[in-house]
Amino acid sequence: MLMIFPALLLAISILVLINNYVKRGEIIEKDVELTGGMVISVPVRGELNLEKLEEGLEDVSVRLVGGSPPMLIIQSPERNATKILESLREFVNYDLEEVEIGDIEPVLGEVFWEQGKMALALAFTSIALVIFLLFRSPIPCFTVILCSISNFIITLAAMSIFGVYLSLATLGALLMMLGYSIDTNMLLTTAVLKRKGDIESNIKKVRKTGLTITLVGLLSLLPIYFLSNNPVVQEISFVLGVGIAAEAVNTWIQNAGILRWWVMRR
Amino acid sequence: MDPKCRYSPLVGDEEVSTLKNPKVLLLILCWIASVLLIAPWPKSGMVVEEVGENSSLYQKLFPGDIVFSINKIPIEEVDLTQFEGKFVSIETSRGKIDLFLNRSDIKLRKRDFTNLKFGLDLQGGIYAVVEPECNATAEILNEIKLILEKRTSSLREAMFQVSRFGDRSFIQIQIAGGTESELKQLLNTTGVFEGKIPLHVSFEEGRGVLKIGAESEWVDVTYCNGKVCLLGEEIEINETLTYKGIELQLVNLTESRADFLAVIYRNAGERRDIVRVYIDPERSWLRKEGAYYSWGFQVEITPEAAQRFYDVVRNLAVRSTGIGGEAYLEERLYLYLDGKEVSNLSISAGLKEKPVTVASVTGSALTREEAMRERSFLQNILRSGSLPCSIKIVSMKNITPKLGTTFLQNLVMAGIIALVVITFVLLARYRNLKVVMLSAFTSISEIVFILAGSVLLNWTLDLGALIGILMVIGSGVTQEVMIIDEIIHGEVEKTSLRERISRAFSIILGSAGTVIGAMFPLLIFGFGLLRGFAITTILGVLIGVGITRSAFSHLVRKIYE
Repeated sequence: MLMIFPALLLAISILVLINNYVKRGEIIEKDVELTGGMVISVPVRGELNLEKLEEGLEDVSVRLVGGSPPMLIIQSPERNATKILESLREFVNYDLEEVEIGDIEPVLGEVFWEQGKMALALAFTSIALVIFLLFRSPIPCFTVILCSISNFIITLAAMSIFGVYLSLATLGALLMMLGYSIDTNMLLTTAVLKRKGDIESNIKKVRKTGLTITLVGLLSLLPIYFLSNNPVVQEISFVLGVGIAAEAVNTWIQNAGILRWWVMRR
Repeated sequence: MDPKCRYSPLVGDEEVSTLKNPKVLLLILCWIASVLLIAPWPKSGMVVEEVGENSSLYQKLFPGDIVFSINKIPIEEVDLTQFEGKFVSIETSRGKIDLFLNRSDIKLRKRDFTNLKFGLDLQGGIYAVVEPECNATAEILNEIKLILEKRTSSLREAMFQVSRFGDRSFIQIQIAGGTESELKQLLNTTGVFEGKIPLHVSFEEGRGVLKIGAESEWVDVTYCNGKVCLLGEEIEINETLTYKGIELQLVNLTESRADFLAVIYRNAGERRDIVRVYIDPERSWLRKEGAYYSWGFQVEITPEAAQRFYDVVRNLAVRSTGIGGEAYLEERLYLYLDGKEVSNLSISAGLKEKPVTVASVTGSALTREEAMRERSFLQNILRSGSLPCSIKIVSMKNITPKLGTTFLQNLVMAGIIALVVITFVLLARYRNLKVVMLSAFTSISEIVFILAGSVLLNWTLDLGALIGILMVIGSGVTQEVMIIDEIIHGEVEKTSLRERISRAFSIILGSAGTVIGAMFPLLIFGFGLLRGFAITTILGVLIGVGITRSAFSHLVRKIYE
C-alpha cells in the first residue's frame, strides 16, 4: 500500500514537467547560462515589490533569492544591462558596486546545454555500469536505476515549482545528486542480496543506517543553504536536499517493496 | 550503548600497534605532507599586485611576483618611495634586480597566510569566454592564449584556460580587477599593426615614375584604361603588388595621377617588423603640449623593414620645417591597427640619409590618463603581437570583490556549523564521543587533504571547488555511518568483522564509482564553476576511499574493541 506514495510522487512530478512542456515548450525553465542572454544580480537592501517590478520591467524574468541581503536576479534575452539597471532604480535602491552582470551569447548557451545533456547521459550510463558491476543481477540494478531516474524527475519538478532554474550550477548539483543519492539504495540492495538471514530484519537494520545518512545529509545542507548567502550555493543545496529526501522515499518505500517482492518470488 | 563486536582478525592489521598500522601511518604522513604543502604560517616578502607603466620596475616585475627585500632591508619594513632616485638591489622571486629606481609606482600586498590559491569569484574580477573566429587548431588556440596572456600579464593577475567542445574551441579568461571596457578593448583587437607611407605618381602623356630605392631602381608606370601598368603587371584600385619587398596598394587613380600606399612595417602573424618596443622612461614619454598631451615611444624594427622605409622616404622631398627648425618630409607615416588609422607622424628629413632601425610611434590625447592609456595599449599590442585570427567575446561577467570576500567567510561559517550539526546528530545516534570525534577528525582530514591536493595540482579554489569540498564532507560522513553501523552490527550478526567491513567498503567503493562516474563528464566538459566542483569532488572521493575512510574503519574498530 505504501508503494503508492512514491508512485504518486513520481506521477505528480511527471505531470508538472509535462505541463511545463505544454505551456513553455520545455520541461524546466533554463537559466541564461544555457540559453544566452543577460543576468544581473542585485543585492536588495531596501523594500521591493516584486509584482510591481515584474510589471514595470518588460521582457525580463525576475526572481528573489533568499539570504541576507536577498538577491534579486534579473534575466533578459536582451543584452542591455544599462537600460535594465536604469529602469530598476525606480523600484529598488542598489549599490552599483555590488551589482554583478553576466552576459552570455546564445551560441555559448547552446554549447553549454548540449554538453549538459551529454554529461547527464554519460553520468546515467556510468552509474548504471557501476551498479551492474556491483550487483550483477537485473532486478536490483533496475531498482537502483529506477530510483535514480525517479529522484531526478522529482527534483526537476521541485525545481520548477520553487522557481529554481536549470543552470550550470544546478546541472552540476543534479549530477552530484545522482552520484550521492544512491548510497542508501546500495545499502538496501546490499543488505537484501548479500546479508544472511531474514530479509525483513535485514531491511530494518539498514533502514536505521540509511535514515541516519539521510538526516545527516539534510541537516548538513541546512546551514549551507541559510548561511552561504549566495544564490548559486543555495540552488545547489536545494537540488541536493530535494534529491536526498526523494531518495529516502524511493529507497525505503519503493525499492524496499520491489526487492522484497523479488526475493519472496525467488 | 557500547556494543561488543564479534572480532575476527584482519591479516596484517592487528599484529601492530595503532600508530604503526599502515592505514594510520598513511593518514599521519598525509597530514604532514598537507601541512607542508598548505604552509599555514606567515611568510616573508610581499606580493606584486600592479606595476604602473611609469614605474622603473615595469616589465621587470609582474603581478603575482614576490618581493623579499630592497637593499637587504625586508620589504615589509620599508616604503619603496623612499628609495626613488637611488640605485637599489631588489630580491624577488624572479631573482635579484639591480637598477636605478627612478619611480617606484608599484602596488604590493601582504603575502597570503597559506599557499592556497583562491579564484576570482572569491576576490572579484572579470570572467570572460572568447571564441576564435577561425578554424582553430590546438596550436592556434595555444598561440591565441599566449598572446592574450602577454597582453594582460602586465596589467593584472590573470588566468587562462582552453576548452574544446566538439569542433568549437573557447578560451576562458579570469582577470583580477580591471574594467570590462579595458578587457574588451584588449580582446577585440586582433593586433595587426601596419605603417604606411603614401606615394604619388604623376602621369604625363600617360607615363610616370614610381620613385622607390636608388634612381636606377625607379619603376616606370603607365596609365592604361582605368588601370596602371608597372613591372609587367596591370593593377586596379585596391589591388596590390610587391616591389623590393614593399607592398604597394593602389588607392586612387585618375588619368593624371596614381596614389599608392606603401606598407613599410607590418606586425601580423609570422611577419614581425617591429621586434622591440621600448617602455623605459628615456624612450617612452608623455608630455603636456598646450591643451593636450602627446605620448610616444621608440620601437626597434628589423633591418629589412628599415631598408624598406629608407627606400620609400629617400626620394621624398623636404617640405616643411617644424618647431625648432627641424626639417620634415612631404609625406607622413600613417599607423594602422586592425585596418584603422591610429596615428600619423611627420617624418624627419634626417631619415632619408640612411636606413635606421629605431623608429618612433607617437600620438596625442586630451587628458593625461587617456594619453597614458593609449600609449600603454599600443605598446601592449605591439609587444604581444597579433592574434592569428580575430576572437569573439561570447560571455563576460563581472564579479564584485565586495560579494566575493563575504561569500568566503559565509561559506567557511556554513561548513563549520554543518560539521557541528553532523557531530550532534552522530552523538545522539551512537552516544560515543570518541567515535563521533573520530568522524569529525576524518572530515577535517578530508578537507585538509583536498586543500593540499589543490596546492599540489596548482589548482585554484573557486566557488565550485569550495562547494565540492562541502559536499565531500557530507558524503564522507554518510560512509562513516555505514562503517560504524557495520562494526557495531557484529553484536547480533553471525558474520565476521572482516566480512562486514568489506561489505561496507563494497558499498563505499560502489558509491565512489557512481560519484566519479557522475562527475567525470563535468571534468571533461566542465566550464568554470563545474570543473572546480568536479575536481574537488573526485579528489575528495579518492582521498576518502584511499586514505581517510580505511584509517577511520581501523580506528573505530579499535575503539569498539
